Amino acid sequence: MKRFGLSIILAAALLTDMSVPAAAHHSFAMFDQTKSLTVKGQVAKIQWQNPHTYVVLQARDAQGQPAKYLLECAGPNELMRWGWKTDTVKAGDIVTVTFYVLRDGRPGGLLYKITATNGVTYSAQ
Amino acid sequence: MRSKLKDILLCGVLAVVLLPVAAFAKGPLRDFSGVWYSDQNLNRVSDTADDLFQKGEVLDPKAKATAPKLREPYRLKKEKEDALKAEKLKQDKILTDTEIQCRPDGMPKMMRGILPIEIVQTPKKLVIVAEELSLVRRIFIDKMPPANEITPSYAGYSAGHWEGDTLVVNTVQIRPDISFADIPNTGKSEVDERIRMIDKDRLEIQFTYKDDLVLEEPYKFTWTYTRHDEHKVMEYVCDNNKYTIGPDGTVQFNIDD
Repeated sequence: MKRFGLSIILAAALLTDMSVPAAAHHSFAMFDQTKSLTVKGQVAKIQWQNPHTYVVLQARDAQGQPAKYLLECAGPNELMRWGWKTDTVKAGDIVTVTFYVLRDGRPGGLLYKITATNGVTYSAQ
Repeated sequence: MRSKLKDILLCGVLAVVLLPVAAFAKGPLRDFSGVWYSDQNLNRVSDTADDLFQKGEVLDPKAKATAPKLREPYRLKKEKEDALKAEKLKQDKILTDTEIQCRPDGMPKMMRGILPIEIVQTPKKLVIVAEELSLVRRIFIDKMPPANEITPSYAGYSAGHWEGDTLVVNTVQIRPDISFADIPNTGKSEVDERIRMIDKDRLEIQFTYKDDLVLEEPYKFTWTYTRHDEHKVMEYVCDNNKYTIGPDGTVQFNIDD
């Protein structure tokens, strides 16, 4: 069943090494920056647009049920400056992501870092 | 005699041709062209204005910003708005602002975005491209036209002149729906700037925000910038905004892809 090993690796962890997001066009109050999830999943879609790049990830939630996460990154201009290429993350890729959760519990969050298929971990904030 | 006349004419022609060029190319500290990051945001890559002030690198001793002093009834109105914002924030809700709606910040906030600005300088004008929302501003080295010949805009209309290596700029006709630092914009708001280079890789702008109708005194602050010409300023069209404004005026995040 775990075809892609889609699983929650670390739930609701308090992370001290994650800093305040560097840049965005809005406040981050809707994200709980004391709680993060690390999830492995398959990229369903990447939206390489402004004001933010979004990764849509098909994975599983804490109960093991299929879940689709909408993950917000910095805009494409900043991602490029941080080493991303336009094909660093593609639909179909199996990736591991760490993100701050939405306070209201919906499946989405603020993507902090992503380990791409090339084994490199990229900053997303 | 004819030869002397020729020499005089030649000198005259050279003076006409070369003087403006010489004035423009007075020195490297008079060419602001480049890609600049504001030091006053979370993405800063260098010292803050305070750090520079401590080092004595900022001219204006009042560089450390203080809150603008609003006249009544604007002060009381802002107090109420701040209380409402704080109350909403306790519920993890954010009241809307121009950024969340993908509208440019306008002057002067566009000059301290989290993304870089690019300055392209010519003898007669400076073109400033703020990467955030691709807002373009022009500073004309010329006289200010009459107000009724200027359409109000996000960046306003800027006219400037040189005082030594400092570019002195006045900006008027900033759209009335664009406010800065919670100062209500009556449509009469003006921004003065003194722009100079601290060294070849550091830029300083001393701002004076003026509006006698709402401010007890002009609001002064200084922002500094660090050169990052290795970065290319890119297009930024806000065409995938997942934030909307709810019926209560707070920001909603749409997680549909």
